[in-house]
Amino acid sequence: MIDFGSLPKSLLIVLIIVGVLILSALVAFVWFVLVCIIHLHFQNKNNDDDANMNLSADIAYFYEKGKRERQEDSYFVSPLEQYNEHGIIACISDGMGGLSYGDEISKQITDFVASKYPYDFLKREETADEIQKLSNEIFEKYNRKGGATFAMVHIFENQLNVFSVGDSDIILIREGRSTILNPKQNYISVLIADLVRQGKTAHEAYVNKRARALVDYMGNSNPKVNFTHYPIKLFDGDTIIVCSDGVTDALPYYQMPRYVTYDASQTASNYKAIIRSKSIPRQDNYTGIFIQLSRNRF
Amino acid sequence: MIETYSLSHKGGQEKYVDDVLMKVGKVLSLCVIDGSVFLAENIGYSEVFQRLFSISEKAEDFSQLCERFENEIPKNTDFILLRATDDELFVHRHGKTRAYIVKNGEIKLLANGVIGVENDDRIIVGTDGFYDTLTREGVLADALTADSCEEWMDYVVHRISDVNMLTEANLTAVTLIVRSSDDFTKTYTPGKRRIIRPDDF
Repeated sequence: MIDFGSLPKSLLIVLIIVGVLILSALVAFVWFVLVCIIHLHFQNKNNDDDANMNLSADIAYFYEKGKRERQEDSYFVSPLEQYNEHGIIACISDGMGGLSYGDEISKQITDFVASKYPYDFLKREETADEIQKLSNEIFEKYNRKGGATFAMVHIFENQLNVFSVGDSDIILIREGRSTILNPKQNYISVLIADLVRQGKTAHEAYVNKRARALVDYMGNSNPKVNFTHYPIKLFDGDTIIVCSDGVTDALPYYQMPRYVTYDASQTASNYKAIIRSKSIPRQDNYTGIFIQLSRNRF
Repeated sequence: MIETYSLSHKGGQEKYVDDVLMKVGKVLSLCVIDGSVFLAENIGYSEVFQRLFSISEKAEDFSQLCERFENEIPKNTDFILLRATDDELFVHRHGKTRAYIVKNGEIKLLANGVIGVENDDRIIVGTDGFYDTLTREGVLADALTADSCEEWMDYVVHRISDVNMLTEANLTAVTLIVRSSDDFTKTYTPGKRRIIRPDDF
């Protein structure tokens, strides 16, 4: 037992000060740990809320005839007011050049999509089957004297389903990189696959005069409808472009990110201006739908 | 069961120097080796890999097997070793040869270790040269759109071809899809669709 009374007064003061300091440090440490725990708890909660929050969508489009006599593209965009309930459907159809009825068929396709809206986001296979059935109906009616390509996106709760037949494009721009999301059903795909199996390089495929001919399209009997078997997760800042080849022929997809702004209308205007400025003598019909997703939009 | 498709293409090079070692059974064992290092140093490690890989099926402990690979194979080599069952995937990566998993609409680089897998998870394993021109979003979209491993590989190779007509490095990759048996049967039901070739017009 220490007899504090026998200690010199100065030493006693020092001991009291040290004791108070240790106690203060202990209290401060406990307080710090508590604050950290509370902060982390709320931060995780906010992050979870942010991740679950539906991204805002901004949509714009252009629909131009180019230098062609007829407009053979067609498009449909679902009402933005129903975004939270049913998501967004955006599609384009491009009547096949060189064949008759391109305008009629592309319109029939987008009208069909509009008539079936809203779609169940989870029933991707059913949607693909509906598209295939429509193609068979077109086949019955026109007997391959006409056809069209088709590209459609369905965005719902920060996820994306894509559907396509033919060679129209669905492009994702993320972190400054652009990627075509849907496989193209043209002859070059068949040629490349054949050459790879023979162990050859693919040069021969690119010089083939029929490389761009379609091997599947709307109006073919039982076309393969390409679609995502599981949706692609979308993030803040993603831009999705659904467009006819009149856009990508004039403006290669890998150059697209440089014209993207924070506003879909401005982005669409930029693309239109660039395509116009190129003054391509036989500019095809060009249609583009731009969907920009962001966490906050004011 | 795990569906696989393997690509070994020499690209624009004179020789094909990579290697894919695969054993398919109840457990799938896979080793993808980037041979460009061997070629540069003019040495052959193919036999060492084959000898080690031959014991991989019998080796019960994956980490011990990896240790053996690490001890017997030179440090500057690029390879990846995988062991896959219907519900687990063991990964050991050395160098730039790597694998990605497509799960829940996202693509992620596989780190060394073990992860759980489930029906319809998709995995791609490839050498650095294979991934050179690809974006993650492209590989992801192709994985989610493809009906089979072969179709997935075709889509990815088309992307590489659009950049360099396959005239660059050796292309070595394997695509894998985890399938429940019902799902597998469904996927391979022969279709009645007809592909139109340009000559048909």
